[in-house]
Amino acid sequence: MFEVGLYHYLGLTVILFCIGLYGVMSSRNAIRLLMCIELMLNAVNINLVAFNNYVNMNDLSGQIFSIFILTVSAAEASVGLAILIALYRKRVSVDMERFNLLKW
Amino acid sequence: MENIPILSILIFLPIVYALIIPFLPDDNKVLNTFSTVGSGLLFVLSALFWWLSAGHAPMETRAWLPQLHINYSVGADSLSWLLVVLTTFLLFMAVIASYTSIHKRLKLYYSMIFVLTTSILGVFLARDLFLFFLFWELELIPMYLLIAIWGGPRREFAAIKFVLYTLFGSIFMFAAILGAFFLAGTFMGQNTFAFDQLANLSGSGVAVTAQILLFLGFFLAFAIKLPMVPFHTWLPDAHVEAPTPISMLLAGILLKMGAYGMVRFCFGWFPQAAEILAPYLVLLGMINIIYTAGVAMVQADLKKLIAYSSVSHMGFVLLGLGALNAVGIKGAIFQMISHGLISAGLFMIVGTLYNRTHTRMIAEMGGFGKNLPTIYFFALLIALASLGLPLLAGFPAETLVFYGAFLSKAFDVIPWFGGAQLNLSIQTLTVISAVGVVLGAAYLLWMLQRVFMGPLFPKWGDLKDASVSEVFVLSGLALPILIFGLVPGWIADPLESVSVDLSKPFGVQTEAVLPPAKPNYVSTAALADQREGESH
Amino acid sequence: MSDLIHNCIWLIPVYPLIAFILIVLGRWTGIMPPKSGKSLVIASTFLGLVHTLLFWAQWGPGYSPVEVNWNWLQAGPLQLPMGYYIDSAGMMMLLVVTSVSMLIQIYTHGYMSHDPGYSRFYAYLALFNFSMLSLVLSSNLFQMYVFWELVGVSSFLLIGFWFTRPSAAAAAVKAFLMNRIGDFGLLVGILTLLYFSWDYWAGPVLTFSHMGGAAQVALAAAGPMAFTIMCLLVFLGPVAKSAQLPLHTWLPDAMEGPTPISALIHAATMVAAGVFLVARMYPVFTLSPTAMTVIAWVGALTAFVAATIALTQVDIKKALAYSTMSQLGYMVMAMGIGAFSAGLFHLMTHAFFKAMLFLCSGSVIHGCHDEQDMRRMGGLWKYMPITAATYLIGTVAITGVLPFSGFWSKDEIIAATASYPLLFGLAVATAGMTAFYMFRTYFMTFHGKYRGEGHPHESPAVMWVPLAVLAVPSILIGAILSGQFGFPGFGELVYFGHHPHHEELNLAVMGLSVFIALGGLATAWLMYGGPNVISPDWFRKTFQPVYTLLWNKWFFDDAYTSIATKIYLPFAALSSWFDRTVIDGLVGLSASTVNVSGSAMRTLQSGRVQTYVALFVAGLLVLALVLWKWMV
Repeated sequence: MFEVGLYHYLGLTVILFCIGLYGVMSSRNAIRLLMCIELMLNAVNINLVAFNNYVNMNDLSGQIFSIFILTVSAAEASVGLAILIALYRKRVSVDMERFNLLKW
Repeated sequence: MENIPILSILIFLPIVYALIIPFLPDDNKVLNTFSTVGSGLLFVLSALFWWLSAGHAPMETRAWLPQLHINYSVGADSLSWLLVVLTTFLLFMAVIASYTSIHKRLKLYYSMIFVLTTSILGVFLARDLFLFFLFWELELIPMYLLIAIWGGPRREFAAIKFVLYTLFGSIFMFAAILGAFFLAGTFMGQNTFAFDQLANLSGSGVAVTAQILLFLGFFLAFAIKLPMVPFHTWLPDAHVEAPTPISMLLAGILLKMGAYGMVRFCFGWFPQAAEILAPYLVLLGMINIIYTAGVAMVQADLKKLIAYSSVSHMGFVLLGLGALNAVGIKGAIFQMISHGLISAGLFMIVGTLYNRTHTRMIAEMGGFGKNLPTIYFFALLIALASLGLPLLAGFPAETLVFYGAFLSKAFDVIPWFGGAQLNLSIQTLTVISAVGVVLGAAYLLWMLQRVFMGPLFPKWGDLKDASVSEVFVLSGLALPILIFGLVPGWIADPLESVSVDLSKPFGVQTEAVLPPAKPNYVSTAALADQREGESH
Repeated sequence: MSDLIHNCIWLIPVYPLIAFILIVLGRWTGIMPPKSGKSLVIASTFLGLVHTLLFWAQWGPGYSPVEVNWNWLQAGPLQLPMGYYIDSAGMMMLLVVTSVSMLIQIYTHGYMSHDPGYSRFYAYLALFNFSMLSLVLSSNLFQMYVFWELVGVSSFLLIGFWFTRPSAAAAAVKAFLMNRIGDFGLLVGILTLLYFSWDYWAGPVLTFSHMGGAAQVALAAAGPMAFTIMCLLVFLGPVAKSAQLPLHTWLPDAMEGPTPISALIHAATMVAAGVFLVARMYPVFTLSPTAMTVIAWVGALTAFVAATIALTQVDIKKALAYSTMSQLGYMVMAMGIGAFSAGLFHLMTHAFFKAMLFLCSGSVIHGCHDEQDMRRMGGLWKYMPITAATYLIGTVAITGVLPFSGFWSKDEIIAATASYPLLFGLAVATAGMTAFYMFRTYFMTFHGKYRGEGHPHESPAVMWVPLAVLAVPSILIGAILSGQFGFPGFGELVYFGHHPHHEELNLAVMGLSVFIALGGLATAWLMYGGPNVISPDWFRKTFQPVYTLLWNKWFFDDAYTSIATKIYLPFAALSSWFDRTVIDGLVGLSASTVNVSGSAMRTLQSGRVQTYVALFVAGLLVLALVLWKWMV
């Protein structure tokens, strides 16, 4: 019977992470970019939980870590959205191509 | 006496001054007075401490960062003492010279001068390589500010050039320091920065190639500071832009840090490497003397001329060290002292003229001997000392260097690339360097002729002769120049043990570089006996 | 007392040094009034003279040399001494220097009385006296080099005494530089000598008392070739100091200095130091026949060339300067042929009569209101009889007419050259020219009609008394020390080697030189004296090329100017250009490389976060690849 193992989880997280990474690198819409970051973080979360489940079952550090990350990502998303709103007020756009002030 | 940390007092007293200065009232008179008294006290203390500690070399060691084998360790032998007293003396003179040349932001100025002093004294007194490096780098910060704030029109450029150039050398020195530190661990069982242990490094089985690399690492940093051709171009820029007192300190003391490091580390610790590299040092010293003398000859800017002459005279240090015998090494150290006094004096002369005319172009000057007789007198005296006139301080130094180099058996040919040889013995190179004596006379006298002799330009008709403070500085510099010229033993004798110790390792593989002294015959006594016999 | 005199010989130069220091301090602090210092300096010289005489009086019968050495500078095994060494030659120099300088210092009071730099002048005189006396007393070659340079700098200061005149300033610098070239040779020569004789020395090095042994050791170590080169290097010092070819051009220019200086430094004492040095170093020089030959020829050619140049001079001081050069050439030639005593004898007589001649010219210049051109003098016999008489005595003395002092000394030299036909010819020709040009100056200045403006006047007593005093040795000293009149001859008092020698008179040579001298006198009289039988202009036109050559002083000055300005200065300018452009250019290049690469790199910083992420990921991938490929 087909058994789900660590490598399947890893494969899933790699795919999820790469989709997220691709989205971060290529999306022009800042909102989508934030969502892609969430996707990457979630891939990491799955990874942590999976490792905890398969490698070290004595404690729940992976699960706890993933909850931490969820918290932090929530905070991050709110700060990110706040920044985005501030940017939108300045630029009337959420196009990433136009956010290039941080250069020489 | 033994329990008083005299060296730490000397090093950190200037920092204390620098911390007091911000709380003084912002009045130029108060600041001038405070700095004068403070630096005078420092000079007196340093001389007094030297005198009191005669006979034993004071040494203070405290654990600082024991995990990293770094100690706070300071000590002094006669070489260090001489340079320390020179430093405090020139500091005193520079502070007085500041009366007439520095008028803005005196608080910061004097604080920086005192921080600079601490770092220089630290360099001369440190007995821990890490501490040495710390002080060596610390010196850059006040010097940068002193040039960049109180300098001439291109001051920022000159200051940056100075700092970057020195830092460039420091990289190599730091690499060499770490190299010595870890090699000490490998070959002597203990990673260490302590001078007295590292001094034994060369005898502990370290490969000669490694020694040469360490030598070169140190040497590059010191050669830039010295400065040695072709690493000298920061110096004319820095001098031209720096205000007079800073030029005095720069030429008088900062260049000596390079020479001191060469003597202490390159020659003191890696004698085998020094013996192999001596031919190139002498060659470079010769180029230093002759080439920069030529460059000095045609300078239109008085201060640049003096700056190049200063470079030229530092070449004698290389020549003397390359001789690898006690005579030459003593001459090199003597040259450090006399050059300190003389070049500071020459820059002071330039400064007094600049304060009056606000130009440094020789072509715009002429005939100052007529209405500035006091300045002319000192300019003449110091320029003559600079060109090596006997009975002034430059002469004994040059004499020892020439005699040491010419009598040296250091090398007969210079090994060159691809197994070829340059057919130049140290004697030949000494003779070529001696041409520098003629050239030095030529550009200095020509300078005197154009600046002080001839008819006075009408526009300078109402210039005033030297003020009291200027006369004080000039005579303060001229007096030791005279004294050490008349009685060179006062500098040469304390250096005897240092120079003999330094020269001892040389000539181990080859013949002794100089044969030992034979018992002194007393020709006087024989003649006196003869005379007695006749008169009876 | 006698011990005091004996043990304190080092005080002789210290007296003027004290005078110098006192004047400098006194004038600087304002304690001394503006025109002071005369008495101090004269007293110091007088003390030195008395001290010398007292020492001489109780020196003892054998005149055995007195030597003391102190350690001045020591480093490892090298001991550079200072001290004093007196032998008969040194004693002779001491007497000459102290007596001549005292008279000149007295004279100076009159000559410089109106000069604002009066005290400064006396201070320099004292400084010079200190250096010169120390040079004479030097116990070793190193010390002699020290004071050799110091007399040079005193000379520099005194030539440039009127430094506001561009010509004086240039002359002073030129004199110093020419001498520096000589000093360079001397320094290298000393170093070479010490190098080769190092094994010989124990304790203080380079002492004259041990020079003989050192010379033997050095010759053995160096071989004849290197030894000769060493001798010639040492000789380069005297060449410059005693104004020998080719480093002579500073001496005529040095006449820019006040006339007492020309008399003291550039005629009587300092320029003779070169001859003195050769005499002191005779054990070294005599070991190299080649070097001796070169010395003799340099001396002879200098004597000849200088005499030819003197023929055309119209400036009275320059004529005397070339005559000095010519006489110094005689002395050097005497050194070169080994007639050391004769050379020093001439040095001594020359010091007296040439000092007197210069002082006379000073008296003339003073009396004619600072006129130096002989074409605007003439007939001064009427106005300044004492000066004219003493000048005549000096002229006769230098010409070598029996029985004046110059005759005896010059005759000894010419007699010594008798075995070298070419040198003999040059010496005799020079003697003839000397007679001609000296009497030419005499006739042009003192005879005929006064051609200048204003009213010339005789100088005050303070100036003519020294002249009169100097006239006595100018007349007598040669005869006294000739060894013919019951007194010991010069060669018996001052001798080199082991045997004092008595000069035999060489009657043929005596007759010839007197004849030649009279011939020169007669020619001068015919051309410039009363009758003007031969016109100088005719000469000038007939021998135009020769005249041009002589008028331009054999083009030495032009050659040196070309070397300095056309060769060295461009070279110096080139090195300056090289320094600014190439060396500093490389420094600038490294700085601008960093700058340029920085500008290039900063285009990577687009400000777009996504680009950064992409680059970051790319870097990560590369790193992962590397780790996977090479590390695992």
